[in-house]
Amino acid sequence: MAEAASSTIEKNNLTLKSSYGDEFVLEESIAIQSVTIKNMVEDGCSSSVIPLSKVDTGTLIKVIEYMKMHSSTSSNEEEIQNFDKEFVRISIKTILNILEAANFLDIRSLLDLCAEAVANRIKNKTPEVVRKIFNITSDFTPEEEAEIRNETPWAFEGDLDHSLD
Amino acid sequence: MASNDPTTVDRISVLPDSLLHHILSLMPIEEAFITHAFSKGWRYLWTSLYNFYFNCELYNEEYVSFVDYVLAHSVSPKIKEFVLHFHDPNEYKSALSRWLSFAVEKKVENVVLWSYSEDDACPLPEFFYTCCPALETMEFNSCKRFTRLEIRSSKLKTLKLIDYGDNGRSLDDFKCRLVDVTSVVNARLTFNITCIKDIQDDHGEEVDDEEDSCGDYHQVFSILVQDYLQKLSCATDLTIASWFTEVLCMLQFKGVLIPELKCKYVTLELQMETFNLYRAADLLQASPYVETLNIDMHTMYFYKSRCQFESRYLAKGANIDLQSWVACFVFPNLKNVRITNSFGCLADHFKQGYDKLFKLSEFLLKRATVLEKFIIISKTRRSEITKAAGSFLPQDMRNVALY
Repeated sequence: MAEAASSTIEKNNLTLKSSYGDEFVLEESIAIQSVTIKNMVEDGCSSSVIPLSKVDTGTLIKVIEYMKMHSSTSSNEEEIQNFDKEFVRISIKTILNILEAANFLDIRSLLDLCAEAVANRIKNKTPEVVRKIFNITSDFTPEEEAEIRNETPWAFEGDLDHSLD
Repeated sequence: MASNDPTTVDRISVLPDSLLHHILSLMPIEEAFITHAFSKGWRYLWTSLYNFYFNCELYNEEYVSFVDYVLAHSVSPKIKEFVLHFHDPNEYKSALSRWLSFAVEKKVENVVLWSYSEDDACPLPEFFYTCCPALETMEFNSCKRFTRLEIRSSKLKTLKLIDYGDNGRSLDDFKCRLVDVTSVVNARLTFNITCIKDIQDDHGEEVDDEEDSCGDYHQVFSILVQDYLQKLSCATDLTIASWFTEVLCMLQFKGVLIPELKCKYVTLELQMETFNLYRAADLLQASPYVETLNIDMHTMYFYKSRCQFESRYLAKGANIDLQSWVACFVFPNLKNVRITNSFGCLADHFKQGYDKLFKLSEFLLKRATVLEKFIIISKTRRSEITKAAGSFLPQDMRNVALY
């Protein structure tokens, strides 16, 4: 009897392991916001540790922070909105890492939040500025570049945002 | 991954295409299109857009050709969202028909139409109502008027008519009819219709002050509102605003019964000036299954004149004693109540507004037998409202929050 009870308690916690080998213990009810983890739990593959080989430690910490906040019953909509706003005020590199992790873990709301944050850093900017922000190297020949500029001159001029964030 | 210098790595270009399409689909089409100039890898990503956001400001031939170009090159098999912002949809009449036809062909799921025009409305093409099998959400925002709006879709789940106004037009023109909306579960009807008399007044026309000369006008809307509620009686999530509740109030005084509603979630967007308690109670009385009630109260920023017909009913409504009006009524399923107020800064309204808010809170707290959560969020004068509201709360409430 005692054994059964203790295994039920253990069942409520999951251990997530990052690509660097760091382990994080998380309540199952929080972790199953990730559809990928939820499916693993339902298929019974979560008895020990869930290895997340595509998610590094720093990214996993952020993902867990997000899941904890979004499963909290004590925070209201406004607090969650403010949390989300602050959450994406980080480097674009980190946002892209979280975006990929959210895609892999299948956490829809986190994926949308990060995609929106990326879109906001592309919007209303010239291609040159966006290339700088994201380290995109243009592989167009000068002729191709000139052709694109001629086709869509409005994309390169006007009242655009030149800030690099 | 860790060995590369993070400051020079192009992380975004190596994301899977599905993620890049997702990011692009969150932007207006012209922004999404610009990405073709980033590098060769980005050249044709925009052709896979599945959400389309258009900003149709003042008529612009170039913009129309641009949109035509983008749609002609789209390779996405399915369109999820199609959002059109029009300064004046009339100017875009033929283009709109072409673009909607594209969307329907691509089995569009959600269509949102904004119009800021005060003038004559633009009729939507017939095929849009009848041949749109995949359409799940239809939203018309700020549209002043349609010469024709007949909604019939067997799969439509969400219908939103937001700030739908028909300012003083002749009744023959008001043809916003719901034909078949039995599949709708989520409806939001926030109308703002001004009496024909006020419009004539505004235009300096001779106004007949005889009290009920606009009675027929209101009668037509009473029938319309009844018809809307009847057709949407199976919706589970219902949002209505002041104008709608005012018409309901008139119906109630005439002894007309509101059809029983199946909704579980009710949101009322009420204006403080004309807010009277039992209007909310009225609708709730017709909704025995309601579990969650949200009330958003706000002040109008401009004065809205009232014809005598309206004023008379509003005054009658304001003087009613709520407790005796619906004496033995309880809310058997109401678990969550959330009242938000965002009053303006008009001093007179504060006192009056709080007074009504407290009465309503008291009424709900007494009548909701299985209440679990009661939240009042005041966006102004925090301490005053929470202090006063707190005194009504029963001891055994499980979860009460006053912000």
